[in-house]
Amino acid sequence: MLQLALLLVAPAAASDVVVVRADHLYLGHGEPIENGVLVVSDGKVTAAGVGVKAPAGAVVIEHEGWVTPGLFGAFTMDGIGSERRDDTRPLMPEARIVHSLRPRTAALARNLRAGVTTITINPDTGRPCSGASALVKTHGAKVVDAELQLCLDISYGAVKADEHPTSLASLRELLDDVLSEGAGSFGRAASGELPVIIRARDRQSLRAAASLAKGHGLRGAIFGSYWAEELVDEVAASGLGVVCDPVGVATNHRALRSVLALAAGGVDISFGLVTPANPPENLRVGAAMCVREGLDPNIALAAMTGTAAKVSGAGDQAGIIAVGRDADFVLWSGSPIELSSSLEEVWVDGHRVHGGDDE
Amino acid sequence: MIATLSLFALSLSPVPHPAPRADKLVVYAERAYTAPGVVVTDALITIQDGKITHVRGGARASSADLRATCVTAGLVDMGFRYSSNQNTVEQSSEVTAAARIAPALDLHARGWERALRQGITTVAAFPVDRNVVGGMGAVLKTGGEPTLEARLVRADAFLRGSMGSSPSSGNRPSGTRPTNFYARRPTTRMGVEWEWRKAFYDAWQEESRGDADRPGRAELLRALSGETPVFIQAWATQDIRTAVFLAEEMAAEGMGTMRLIIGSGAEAWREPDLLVRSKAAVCLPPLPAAGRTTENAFMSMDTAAKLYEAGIPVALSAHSGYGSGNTLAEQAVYARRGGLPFDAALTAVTTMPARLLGVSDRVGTIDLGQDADLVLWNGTPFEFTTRPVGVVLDGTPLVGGETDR
Amino acid sequence: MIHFTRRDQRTMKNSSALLSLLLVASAPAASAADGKLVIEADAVVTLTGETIENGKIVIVDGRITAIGADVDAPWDAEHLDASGLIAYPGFVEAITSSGMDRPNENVDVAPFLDVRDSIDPVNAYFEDALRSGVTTLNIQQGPLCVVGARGHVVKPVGRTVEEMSIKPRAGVVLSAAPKRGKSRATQAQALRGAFGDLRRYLEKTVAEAKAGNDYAKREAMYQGREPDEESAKGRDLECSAWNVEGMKLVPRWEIDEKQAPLVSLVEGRIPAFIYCQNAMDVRVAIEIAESNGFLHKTTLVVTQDCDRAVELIAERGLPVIILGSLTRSEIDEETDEMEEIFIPKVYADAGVRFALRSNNATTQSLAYQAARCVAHGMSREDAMRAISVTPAEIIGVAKRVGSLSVGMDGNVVLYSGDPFSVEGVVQRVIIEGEAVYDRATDVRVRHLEQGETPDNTEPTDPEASEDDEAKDDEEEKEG
Repeated sequence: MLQLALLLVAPAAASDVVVVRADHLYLGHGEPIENGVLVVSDGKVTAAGVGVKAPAGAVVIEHEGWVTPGLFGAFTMDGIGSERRDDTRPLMPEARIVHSLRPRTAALARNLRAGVTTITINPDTGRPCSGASALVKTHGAKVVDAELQLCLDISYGAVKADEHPTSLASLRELLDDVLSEGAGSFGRAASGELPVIIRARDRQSLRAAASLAKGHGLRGAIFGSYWAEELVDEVAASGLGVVCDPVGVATNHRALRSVLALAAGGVDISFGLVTPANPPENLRVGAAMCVREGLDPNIALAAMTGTAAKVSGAGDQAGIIAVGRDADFVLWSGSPIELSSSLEEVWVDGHRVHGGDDE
Repeated sequence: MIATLSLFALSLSPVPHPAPRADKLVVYAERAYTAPGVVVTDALITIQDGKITHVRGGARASSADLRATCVTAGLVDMGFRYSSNQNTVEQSSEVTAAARIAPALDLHARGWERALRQGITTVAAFPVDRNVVGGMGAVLKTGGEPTLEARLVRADAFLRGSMGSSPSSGNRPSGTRPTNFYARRPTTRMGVEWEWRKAFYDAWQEESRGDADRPGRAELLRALSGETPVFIQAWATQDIRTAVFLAEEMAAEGMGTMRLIIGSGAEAWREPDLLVRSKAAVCLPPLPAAGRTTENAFMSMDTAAKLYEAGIPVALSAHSGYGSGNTLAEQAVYARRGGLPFDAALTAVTTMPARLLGVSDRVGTIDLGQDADLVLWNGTPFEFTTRPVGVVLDGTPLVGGETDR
Repeated sequence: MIHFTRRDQRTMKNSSALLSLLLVASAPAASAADGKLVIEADAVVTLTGETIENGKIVIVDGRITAIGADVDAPWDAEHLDASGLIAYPGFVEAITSSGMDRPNENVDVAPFLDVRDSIDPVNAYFEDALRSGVTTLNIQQGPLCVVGARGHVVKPVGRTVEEMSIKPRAGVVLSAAPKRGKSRATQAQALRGAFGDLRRYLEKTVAEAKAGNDYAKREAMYQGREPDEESAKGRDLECSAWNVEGMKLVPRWEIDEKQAPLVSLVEGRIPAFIYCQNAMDVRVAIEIAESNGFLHKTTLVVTQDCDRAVELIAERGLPVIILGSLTRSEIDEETDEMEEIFIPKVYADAGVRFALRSNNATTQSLAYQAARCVAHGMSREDAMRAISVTPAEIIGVAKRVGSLSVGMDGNVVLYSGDPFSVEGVVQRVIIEGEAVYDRATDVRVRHLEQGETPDNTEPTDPEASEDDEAKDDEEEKEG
């Protein structure tokens, strides 16, 4: 990917400006920039790259370590307590999980302390369509997008014994029909306006998800990578990215191989945060496990930042350091995918909100 | 005698790789049971592109890639259940004639491999019998690439449904919470039969009146006319009677002559005349240990022999069985023990189910142009002291070798 | 269908029950005149050597006195013409808990119980045994125990347990597999605890004897025991694993009935059958047996994947009895590949002696189990041994049953063909010289095989049940 070239913007009042010089500056895509410089003003990024001159009077931070965009947490159910899903009907496309969000929950703070500055909050899977997810900043629970993705489930988890659909065949048919009819949110999904996230749990449902997406021209993601190893071509042909099942320390080789196979097959991958079931610290652990198994470190980094946001349909709103974007970034003692590195500071909207001398 | 399998020390690989179909494969057997009544000694079977291209006897083993004591065609199980999971049947309506099994199939489920390992290469697949009319069944191979394209032999091969208590068990009469999903479905056998009759009558009347089409009607009409066979599960005598009387009623009303196949017909031996006069075929369930089986039906050990002697087409099935005593091959041994002649037993697990499913042009015998589906045995098939030790499917050896103990 | 009243059906049910009772209880067909019988068969398979063509077996007073093609038969012996049939020794069921009132007790440690009190001679299980060629059965408690009751080796004929008895007090079962409600850890500890309790009891009893206390004697009298010449004496404990000093001071008859069988056990006098469900249990079973001195008398009764511990079993030279399915599959989690394992072969290849056990009398009979061993590549001889000689050795009755030779019990089964083949069907059974089963008069086999009902009446309505009969009684009262 491209490195940002030197870009000097008209300086704002010197006291608002923060400049961070880091041994390694990672922008959320491409390769890390050595001796990179980041300039922040009024909560936004005004410059990032090499050879950037610090405006006079700016606060300059010399960081011996790495700076990355705030990590992107894909597929969480934080802050919604037990109000995860409305079971009234199998299809509830107009339901929005954002209305279940309680802003002051500890889960969001914990995410922030792990370096995750933006998350998607999703309704639970287990119904053919459980509603729309939200894009939320972990600091202050600021809602960035109240209708981020349409959440679908095409796996055996969405088939019930006591309501339609009770068979996998009619589940498929149901989703096919509503996307073809194109009413409301389904119409916006079919037109590509509203990205989708489709839960798949086994090879049969992975195939079904890829086929559904291809057939209706959907964009967005499949959530469920564990069995993807054998089906990379089909997933790639669907045009969807993949939110990967969390990879932990003791994960077996199939999980790792699947992640690597997807990456090798040119599929955009995002590591799933999947809190609160999964500790947010595991995001880095999973990335490190994959790198140890052979994943390109830059792909691993992107899968926690820029590509992760893109796969979840939030590519315009989070995940990268770029001019004009919110200044959400993290200072690390080393590369975040080195488990020996520690998190030092978290900055959101141009202000340090965690770590450093204050704490 | 133990088969010697040389060169191909394969264990079953679940990862689908394109089968080397263009490769030639030559199989030698001391005795090849190519079709019921036909035994070729010192047989050499040549396979190319997944089909059998040559069969000759009196040959030498030296040129063969695979060798076995005996060889039969791949076994066909038309009563197969790869899983008991109810996610193959749409229970929101009791008659779902238009439902197709194919999208609901999990081709990665372990059940297919278990079938393949015991020599079953072709099966019928249909929705679990929880509906009155469950939908259209298909015929599939049990191995090869786990895609429908690779495995489907015939779609819409039959209409599957059930008599008896399985479509009504679990339903509660109205009087329970009206929002209960199961409160509106038939709760007795007569309710089940009523649904069948209603489904057929409605379809026929709508067609006569020229009503706008609706899903399921075409399937029911094809079943009524006999174009598609109707495969009805009926364990007990009363349910077999119900199925036959239903078919006879439809015929008497001039609505068509159904082709009836009784599934799991454990008590078919009690009233064979009924089956003879209705020209129904029977697929039997696995033999129980002491007679009593599902629906309290009593299956005597000579059931298969009795049906055969009465001239009723009979197929055997292992349902979902694998392991000691439950395989399809062993069902054939038990049937022989009960008096079924060897060739009739071979028929019941190869050519008869193939014929009933309408796939005889592809499977069931070892013959020129047939799919290269073979079972290699370590002795005369259908004996307690022998078993399948190798399986070739669509020309690819998928089971067999030193890895199986 | 002809409709029967409930009363008719009950009568028919009763008459079929009565018939099966008669079959088991009555003295059937040919009883040996003055206890002498000569069987002349097409072939006699002795399982000790060669098969004898046109062989004769002479049985006097229940024991074989001669076998051969050319033997002298007593002039006054009954002759059983078995031409067209092959004679085999009766098969031996290595362990079973069928045929009893209930296979398991609630009490964890219950070696003072005896299955003799639970065996039901008219249970259809014994008739089934005859029909499938089994003439010796080791009846033991089931696996839901810590230490179970004492077992009993029986033949499947007799009106009372005494008539059926071949060897009473035939060993004790233990279970390393957890009893309902226990974890493996608590089960193992319960096993250790049972023997710990034994030790403490013996030490206490010795102490009391030293103190001149006669509590044990009074308790023994209260429990209804009396000393005989042998048991009036005390003797040192003969346990190879641990000792309690001073046992000589305690007359043996005074030992509590709850503990006495365990004393026999640790002294290595009676066989132990230890149930194991998986490899973990094997380790525990061996530890318990070894640390309490009865490893050399132990047989492991194995199911599921105990074969994973085959090396441990082979090292200790223990025999096994294989229960449940003979095949199992293992799936490699990484590669997803399935491997099918034929369990008896694992033991055979490791040199472990094994016995098979039937799962029923028809589709998975003892002969069936052995035939499947042949199907999986074992020799006929090895397969046959696993249902005859080996279980007889394990139970400790090999001098009497399991094969045919002079001096052994006259237990002969006559088959219409090879027992491992489709044609091989049990035609006649002779136990200790008495002809006890004849297929020609076996009503139930015709029912199972051809669906015939007793006394050729119309088929019964399968929905008649005890509930219906209860309702029926009510209706009759009202009506």
